[in-house]
Amino acid sequence: MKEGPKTSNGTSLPKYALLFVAAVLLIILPFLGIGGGPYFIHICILIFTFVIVTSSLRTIYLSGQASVAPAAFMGIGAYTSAITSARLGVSPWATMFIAALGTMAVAAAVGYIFSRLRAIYFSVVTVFFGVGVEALIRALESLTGGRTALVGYPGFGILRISGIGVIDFASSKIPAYYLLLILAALTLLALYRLERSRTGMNWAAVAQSPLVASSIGISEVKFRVLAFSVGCFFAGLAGAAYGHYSGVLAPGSYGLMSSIAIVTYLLLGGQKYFFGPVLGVVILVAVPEFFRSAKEYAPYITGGVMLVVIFLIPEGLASLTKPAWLWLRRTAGKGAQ
Amino acid sequence: MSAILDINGLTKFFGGLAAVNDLTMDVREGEILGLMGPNGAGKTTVFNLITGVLHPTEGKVVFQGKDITGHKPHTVAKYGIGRTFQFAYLFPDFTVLQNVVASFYLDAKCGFWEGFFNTGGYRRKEERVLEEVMEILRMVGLEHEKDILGKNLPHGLQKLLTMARALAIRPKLLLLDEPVGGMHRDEVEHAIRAIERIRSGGTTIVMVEHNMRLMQLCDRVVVIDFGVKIAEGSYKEVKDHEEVLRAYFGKESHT
Amino acid sequence: MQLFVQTLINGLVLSSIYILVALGFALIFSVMQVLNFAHGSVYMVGAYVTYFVGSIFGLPPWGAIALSAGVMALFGVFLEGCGFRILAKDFNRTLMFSLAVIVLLQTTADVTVGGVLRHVPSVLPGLTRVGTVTLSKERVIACVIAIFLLILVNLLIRKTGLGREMIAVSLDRTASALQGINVHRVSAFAFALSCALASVAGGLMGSITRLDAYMGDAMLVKALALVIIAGMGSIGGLFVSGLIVGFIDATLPIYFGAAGGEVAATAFAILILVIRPQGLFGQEV
Repeated sequence: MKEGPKTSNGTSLPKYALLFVAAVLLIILPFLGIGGGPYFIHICILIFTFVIVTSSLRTIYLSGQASVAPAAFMGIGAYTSAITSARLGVSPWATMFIAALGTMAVAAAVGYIFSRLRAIYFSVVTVFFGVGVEALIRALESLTGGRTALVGYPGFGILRISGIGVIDFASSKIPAYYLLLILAALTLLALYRLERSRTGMNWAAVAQSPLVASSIGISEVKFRVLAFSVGCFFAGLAGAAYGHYSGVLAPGSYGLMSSIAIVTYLLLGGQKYFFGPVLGVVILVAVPEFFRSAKEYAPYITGGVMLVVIFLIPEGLASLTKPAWLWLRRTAGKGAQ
Repeated sequence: MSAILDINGLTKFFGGLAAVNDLTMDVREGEILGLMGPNGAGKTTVFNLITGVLHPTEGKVVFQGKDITGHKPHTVAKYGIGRTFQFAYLFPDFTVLQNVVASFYLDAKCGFWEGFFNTGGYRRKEERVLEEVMEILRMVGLEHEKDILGKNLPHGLQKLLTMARALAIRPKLLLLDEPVGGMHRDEVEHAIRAIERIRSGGTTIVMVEHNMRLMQLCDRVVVIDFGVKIAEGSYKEVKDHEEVLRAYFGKESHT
Repeated sequence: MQLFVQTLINGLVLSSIYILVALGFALIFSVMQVLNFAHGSVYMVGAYVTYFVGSIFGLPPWGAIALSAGVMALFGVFLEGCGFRILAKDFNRTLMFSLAVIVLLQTTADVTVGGVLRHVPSVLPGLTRVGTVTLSKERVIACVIAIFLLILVNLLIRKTGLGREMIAVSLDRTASALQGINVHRVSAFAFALSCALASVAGGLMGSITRLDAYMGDAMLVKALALVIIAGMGSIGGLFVSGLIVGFIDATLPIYFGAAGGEVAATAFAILILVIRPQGLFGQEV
C-alpha cells in the first residue's frame, strides 16, 4: 500500500488483525517468562525507546532531511530531564515532558538555521551538531557530570493509582516496560496521524520538489522546521523516559556513533515504510542479544546481517512485506484495496 | 480593464549577461496575454522574476497594486499568482491524483491540528477536495490515469497534469510556461478546454507558447528577444512586425 | 617559552596528521562522490596493523609503517571493489555499509588486542634539545614524515598520468570514461592511496598516543571538518583548514579543557557551513 495521504481509504482486514495480535502479545509479554526475566524486559524497554526515536527520525526524513543527530536530541532530553528533576525537585513525570518541549525548542531553532542547507550539506551539519552536543555535555562538568556518568537523579519512584494500587518503578522493571510501551504506541499513533494528514502530504511535497511546492504556496522552511521539531520532540521524550528508567546517563551514549546506529535502524528497516523503524530496531537490537553467547564476537553477526540487507534487500527489511501482503490479500479474499 | 500586473524596468543580469533588460509591460485583468520570443529570449526568466524564484537586479513587479518584487515564491503563490513550469515539474512520487490534491493546499485551509485529530470538519473538507480533483481530472482527460505515479507518465500527460494542477491552484493570475509543448493534437484540445475554463473562472492568464492554436486564444501578445520587449499588440499586428520577423528568422526576411 | 614551542609543535603534529587523513577522505569524495564514513576505522586499523607487523615480524618502525600502508592500500582496493563501487550513488546505503565496516573493524580490533593498552613503537624515541626547549623527537619526526608525504602526494597528483586521471574523473566521471579513462581503476587507486595515507597517520599517531579501537571515531569528524572548511572538492585548501583545526585543537584545550576545545572547534565548523557552505576554497554550492 503506497504511503500516501488520505486518498487511499481504509486498511485491509489482515493488517488490523496482525496489529491486534501484536498488541495482545506485547501486553502479556512480561508474564510469559521468556529468556530469564528482568534482562529480557530490559531489552524490550530498549527496543521501545529506540522505536520512538527511530520512528520520529523517519518523520524528519519524510520532509527530505537526512538528519544524523537523533542521539544528540535524545541526550538533550535525557540530561535536561535528569538535571531539572534533580536540582529543581520537580517530578520526573513532569520533567519528562518539559524536557521534550525544551528539546523541541532547540530543534526548532537549530532546524531553522540549518534549513538553508540541502541534501548532503544538511546531513554534514547535523553530524557536527551531534558531535558538538556530546562535547558540550562533557564540557559542562558541574552540571552534567562531564565524561563520567551522571547518577543520583530521581527515577519514576512510586505511583499510587486508585483502583490499581501501588506501582513501584524501583522494585521491578515491569512498570517501566508498560510505560515505554504506552509511550511508543502513542508516538506511533501520533506520527501515523501526521503522516496521513495533509501535513504529511506537504512534507512529501517539500521532499520531492521544493520548487514545485513553493509554486503552490507551501513554504519549504516552515514544513522542514515543523518536521524537525516534531521528530526531535519524540527523541527528547524517549531520551528522558529511558534516562529516568536506567538511572545512569553517560555522554558517550549520545554521540555520533549512536546517531549513525539509529540512522541504520531506520535505513535497514526501510525508511519508506511506516513500520520500517520497528523492524530495523527489533532486528538490530535482538540479533546481538540472541547471539550473546558469542560475547565479543556478536557484532560480527550484526555486521553480517547488515551486509546481507545492504546488498540483497536495498529497500530495507520492510520491503519484504510487500509480496507477503499481496499474497495475504489474495488468499484471504478480503481487504479494502 | 485595469492592470492586474505591472512590470516596470525589470532587469536581470547573470554576470555580464542581461537575461531580461529593462522590461516594462502590463497585464490587464481577465485577458489572455501571450508572451512570445525565440528560444532563450528570457521568457521563463520573466516568470521566475515575477514569482520570486529569482531576484531582479533592477525593476519592480506590482500585483494588484501591491509591490511584490523579490517576495518569496510561496508567498507570491499565496497572493494569488500560480505558475506552471516548462519542464513539466511535478511531484514524481505522487500519483496523478495526489499531485492535484496536493495543489489544493491553499484552498483546503486545513490546520495542523485539524488534520492531526482527523476531525469531521477536516474529513468533509478533504472529501470536497477529492470531488473537485476528480472533476478537474475528467476535464483534462486524466481520470483514467489517476493512480499512476507522476514519474511514470508520458511527457504529454505530464504536461496535462501541470494544467490540472494549475486549475487546482485557482489563482487570480496564472503564468503558463509552454503548456502544450510536446503534446499531440488530442491532448492539445484538452489543454485548450482547460485554459478556456480557467479564463472563464475569472483568472487572468499569461502564456508562453509557440503553438499557433494557442496563440489564437490570446487577446494580446508581447514579443521579447534578448530580454527586451520588441513588439506589443494583437497577434495579427505583431506577426508581421519587422523586428519580430528578424528575431525569429534573422535579417533579410520578408513575409 | 617551553609551553609555546611545545604547543607549536603539537599544533603542527595534529595538523599534519589531520591533513593526512583528510586528504584520503577528500580524494575518495572527489573521485567517487562518496563520503566514506569508515575512513576513521581505516586509520585505526592502520595503527593496529602497524603495531602487529612491527611486533610479529620484528620490523623497525619505518618498515612497519610502510608495510602496514601497503596492507591497508590493498584493503582499500577491496573496499572499493566489493562495496563502494556498487553502492556509490546511494547515500543511504553507503552510510549503512560504512557502519557495517566500522562495526566489523572495531570488533576485530577489540577481539585481537582487547583491553590491554598498547603502543606503536616510536620511529625515533627519546628527547632532543633545541635551544632552551625540550622536545620529543617522536613528535618532530611525525611532523616531518607527514609533511614529506603530503608533498609527495601533491606531486603524484599533479605530475603523474594516474594523478591527472584522478583529477579528470573528479571533474566529470562520465566524460572521463568516454575519453577512455578506466574510471574503476582510478577509483580503486584513489581508495588505495587514501587508505595508505590513513594507515601512516594511524601508525604515527599510535606512537604518540596509545592504541584504542575507537580512535577512528574522532578522527572521522576531524577529516569531515577539514574537508568542509576547505570546501568539498578543494584538495589544496586542506592544508589551510588542517592548520586551522590543528592549531585550534592544540591551543584551545589549554584554556577551555579538552571538551571545551571540541565544542569550539565544532561550532567553528558549523558556522562555516551555515555562512559559507562551499567552504573557504570550494565551488559555489
